[in-house]
Amino acid sequence: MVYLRKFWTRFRIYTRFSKIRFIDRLSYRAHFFLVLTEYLLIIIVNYFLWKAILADGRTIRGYALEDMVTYVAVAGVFRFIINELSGGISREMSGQYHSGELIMNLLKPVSYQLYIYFRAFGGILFQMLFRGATVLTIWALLVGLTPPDSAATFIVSLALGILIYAGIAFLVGLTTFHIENNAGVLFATTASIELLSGTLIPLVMFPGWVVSILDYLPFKMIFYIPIQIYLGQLGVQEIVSALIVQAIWAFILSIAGFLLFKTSVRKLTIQGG
Amino acid sequence: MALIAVENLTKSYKTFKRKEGLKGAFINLFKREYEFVQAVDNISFHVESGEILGYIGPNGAGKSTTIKILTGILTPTAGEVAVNGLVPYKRRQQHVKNIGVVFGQRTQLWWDIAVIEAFTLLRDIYEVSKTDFQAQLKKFDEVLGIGPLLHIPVRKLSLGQRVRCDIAASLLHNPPVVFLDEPTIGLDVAVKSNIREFIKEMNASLGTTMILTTHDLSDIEYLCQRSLIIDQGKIIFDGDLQQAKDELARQRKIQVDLYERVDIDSIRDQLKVAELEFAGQNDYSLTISFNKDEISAIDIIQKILDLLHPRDIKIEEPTIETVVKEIYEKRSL
Repeated sequence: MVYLRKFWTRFRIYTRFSKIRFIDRLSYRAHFFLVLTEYLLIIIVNYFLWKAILADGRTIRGYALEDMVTYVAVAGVFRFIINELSGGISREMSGQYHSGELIMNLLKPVSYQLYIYFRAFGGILFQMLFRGATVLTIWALLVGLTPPDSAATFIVSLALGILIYAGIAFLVGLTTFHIENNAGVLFATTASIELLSGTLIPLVMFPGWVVSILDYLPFKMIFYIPIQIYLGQLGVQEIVSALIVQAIWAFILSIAGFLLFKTSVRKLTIQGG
Repeated sequence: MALIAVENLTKSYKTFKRKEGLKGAFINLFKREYEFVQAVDNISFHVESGEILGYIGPNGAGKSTTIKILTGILTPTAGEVAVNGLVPYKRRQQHVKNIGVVFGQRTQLWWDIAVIEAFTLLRDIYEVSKTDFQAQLKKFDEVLGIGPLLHIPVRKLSLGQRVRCDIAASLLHNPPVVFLDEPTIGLDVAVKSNIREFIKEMNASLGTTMILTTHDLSDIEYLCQRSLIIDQGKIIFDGDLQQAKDELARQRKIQVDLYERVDIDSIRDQLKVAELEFAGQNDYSLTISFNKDEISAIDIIQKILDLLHPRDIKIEEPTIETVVKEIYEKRSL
């Protein structure tokens, strides 16, 4: 009971970091609309592409145009999450390392990893509640959108996917501590995630051998599993095992981040100032 | 037992030696040379509870590195450190609960939010009770005048305002140990003295132990009974600078302004003092340097009054700056 209360008070402190980021994101109006338009345009382009490919009722690996209408919109919205996590975790950590803000955060009795995670979660909440919801509403009105097969399972799976990505983004952020400039690593991971997590095309459309390799990597656990759950492509048994694998990946990556952060901080060399 | 104990502390950095120019950049791509920099070189010192320790040294001497090790950010290469019985870098989160840190050049308040929001966040992080928090705010407002600043976003504060808020923020949880790294850098005289008063008050009323690094030696003169001077990673002085001022600065100067030109050679013969020279461009003023152990100022003045009719006489006391400069120079010999 005592532990539970302690856990709750600590949790509430971290949620305040989320809140700060959330409010901060709200304060840039022009940026809000520009990014919204950009992402909406990408979804529209993708839609017309699929419309041409899947004309006359054709299907590719089980995907018909009506599936892809929903797929491109949901995957398009996921790109807000990619944006938020690569910027809000990996690039943020690199920036904090170079500006010295990292030092000030290390002087607080809070976990740096959780502080970074929760900040980003605040950003994601903003992205989903405002940008994501706007895009999906526009899409539903203009083109049409199938509602999720099981909303609750979808949200759980998406949350786990976000945790997995946060773990990866944190590890990418940590590379700055060792190689000073992690822009290359960040670019490479972001591109891999866009391609391999299913936000570009459904993963089944890759060649068979690629698909079997992807089964052993965390990427498809980030967005492809949630999309499959959304579209109702997985049976109950498959959903349960997918959620378990997602949870395992989320755990492994966060623990890796925790351990690597510890050793990285030991090696920290900040001269002058 | 001392509150802060540092034994044979060493920190060395491996830095990558960059070759210059286009050719050098190409070579760097394939072959890298590293060199080791000894930022802190086998230093030991203790700080007792309730002490304000001045920690000074030229730029790049190893001051900030020491502070960063003591605050748990950096891990030493060798040696032992204990603050409050804890090893800072091993138990970082626990350790930082018991300390307050002010870096004059950086802020610990989150940029995006108003000062009061940052304060309440810190209150929750450090688990300060609401009544204690209100009492602290009231006290900080009285001494540092932060009341009107509370609802301004941190990024809109001026430097002086920000530093005052930063100091308040670092002391919100009443830490027993406080590290002040150049807290008065870039501040105007009024704010400076304000902050000094506050530091002195904190130390007197709560017995807070403090380590103060600064380039402003008047801060040290006002606040610290004991100072460490570090240069090139080594401690070259440990003691009372006021005392050192008396011991080290034996060279004093007397400046004499005259009504008429004098023959300096004849005066030098009659005074029998090591050095006597005209100061400045005109012949109506002369400066006499002497070692105060060999001859007293009174004797010189008496002799001058016998020989000349001076318009004015000034005795120049050595300043703490000259003392520190002398300590630095001795070291480099």
